[in-house]
Amino acid sequence: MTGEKFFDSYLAGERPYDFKTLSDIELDRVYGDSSSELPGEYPFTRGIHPDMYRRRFWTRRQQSGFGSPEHSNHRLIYLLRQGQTGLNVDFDVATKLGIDPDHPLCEGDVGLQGTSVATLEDMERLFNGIPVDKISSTLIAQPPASAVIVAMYVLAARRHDIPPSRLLGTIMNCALTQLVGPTLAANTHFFPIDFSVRVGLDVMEYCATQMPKWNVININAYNIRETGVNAVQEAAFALALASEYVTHLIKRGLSVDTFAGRIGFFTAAHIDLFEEVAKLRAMRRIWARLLRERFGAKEDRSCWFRTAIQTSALPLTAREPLNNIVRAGIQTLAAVLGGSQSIHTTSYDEAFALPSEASHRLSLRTQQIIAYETNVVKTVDPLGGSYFVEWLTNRLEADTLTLMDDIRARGGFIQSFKDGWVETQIQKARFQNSDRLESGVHPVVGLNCFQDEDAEPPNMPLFRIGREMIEGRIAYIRSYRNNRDARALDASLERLRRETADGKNVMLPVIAAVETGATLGEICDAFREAIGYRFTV
Amino acid sequence: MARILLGKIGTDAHDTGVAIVARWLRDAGHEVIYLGLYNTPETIVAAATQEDVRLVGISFLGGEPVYLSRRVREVMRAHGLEDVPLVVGGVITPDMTRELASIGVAAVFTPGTRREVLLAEIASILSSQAANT
Repeated sequence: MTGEKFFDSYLAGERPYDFKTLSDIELDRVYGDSSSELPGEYPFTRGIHPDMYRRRFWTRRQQSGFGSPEHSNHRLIYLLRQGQTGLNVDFDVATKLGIDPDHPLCEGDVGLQGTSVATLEDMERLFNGIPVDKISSTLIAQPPASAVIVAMYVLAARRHDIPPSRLLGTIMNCALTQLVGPTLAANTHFFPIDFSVRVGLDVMEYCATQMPKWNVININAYNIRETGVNAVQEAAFALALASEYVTHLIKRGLSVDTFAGRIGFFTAAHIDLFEEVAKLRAMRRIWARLLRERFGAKEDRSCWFRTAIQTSALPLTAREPLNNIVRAGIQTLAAVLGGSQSIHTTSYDEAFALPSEASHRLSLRTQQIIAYETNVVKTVDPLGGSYFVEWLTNRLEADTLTLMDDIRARGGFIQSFKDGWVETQIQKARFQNSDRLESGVHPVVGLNCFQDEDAEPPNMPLFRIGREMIEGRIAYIRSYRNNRDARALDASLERLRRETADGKNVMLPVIAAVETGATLGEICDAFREAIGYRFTV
Repeated sequence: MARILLGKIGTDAHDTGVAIVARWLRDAGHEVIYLGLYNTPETIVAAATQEDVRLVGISFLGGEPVYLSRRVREVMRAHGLEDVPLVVGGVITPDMTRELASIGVAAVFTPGTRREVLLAEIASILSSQAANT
């Protein structure tokens, strides 16, 4: 498939071409009795849409990103050719933290957990040849760097005559969960947390008013879960934090129905299949009720718990890595049975490196096999009505609501984070998980049971990128800084500092600064100068 | 029992592994100085010197463990700490493990390393070091 047809197919979506089993039995849209809830009806326990995958499969949205923008652009195009249906761009940690590639702290990291992006031309190169009004892109960055990333994305699109109103996608944009989950040290070193939260809200407000097809935030429940907490904590922390952002946006004068439909989530699919399905059903029900009953949302769309899912990396092992293909397959099935809107299947070499082309492709194939071969997509919420799954859904809902009430009584999730309460829960969970693994109470095949001491590690091609990539990025950014109109740049940074200090929404001065050629690091330094904050290295 | 310094270098903030190792070592009776996140080779070595530690452990996910470990070894050498063993943990490929051994890293611990294995290895490294000084 080439050119226009290729990208038009994303908008058309894919669906099963009939609704029969392998043995030609015709299946109904949904099964239940007169007392059952229905998918697509408030509170959406069984799915946010009436037809779910019968109408359109979930988006296959594998994360990617490494090296220079050119490196990443090649991988994006490769994934699209292999059947990926949505883009998911991870930026490297330096980019996320708002430091340029030549900063001493990132000398060993640039371009290694994601794509290195520091300038507008970097963003243009990253999306070269990709029509951003035809395919949706998730951009993984948190505030305040997310303000710069959105500005660069909007400006790069404008150069191709695509206005912000036609852009499809998501900025992850959560100040507490986007980096590695809500641990204190990670999230409070480079900026005070209140400033990050404020800029995140600025970005949400800008996107909600200027970009109707754009998601203003994804609460990263996946990262919350990856710290080691359990399903109830994942759900409660994520929903509590999300409701705080809703409260803040309402305080800024936005009406809930103008933005709530553009809030999304990113959750984990761990390996307890039924618990994960029930968790998603419970989260849908809780979120819907929260939006309608507490926040008065009138539109159904405002009440939809829309989620992307990544299969959790926690169950995956370095020992006997091919076993991870089985694990990720089961976890992907859980995500499908739970009604996810998009899925990233973690690659089997997760314990070693970023995905290679081969392992990335296998992740896509895992999803394609489930979508096209298993027929689980041909009826909606197939596990609905199971005595067990309904009971577990209700139980997870109750436990999650109890924990959310507890968090509220402590002053909310952000306050609980600042007070160190969240940190305590995370440390407790980590140590408990480690103890359970050591004692064997939590079995992991190949690791603490059925170990094969003689097993040779398989010969897998592993991703690795040479030092020249980092040196190239350092050389690029140094030469880039020498080729700009210094006066216009200084004036725009001065405006940015002033408006930041005055408490104005930072998006317009950030866009102006990017237009004069400011780098991501320079803009983030200007933020810090405006609020009188420094970080130590 | 020994004074051991643990920390992470660079921008990576994934600290579950190193937090658990810190706790294992403390429970085994070692004194652990935990430097946390966002260190450079220079800050790690400055703390190692100041705290007079007998072993340094650094943890990686992503990043260039070989490049950064080599940097740490160079800075340690420049400060007269070449006899202090350096151990590395994290998401590290088999090739990198071989390269780390060749630059003098005393041990590499990858995800799923069991507590008893890690403690025994550290004990062995410490007692060889004691025997050699």
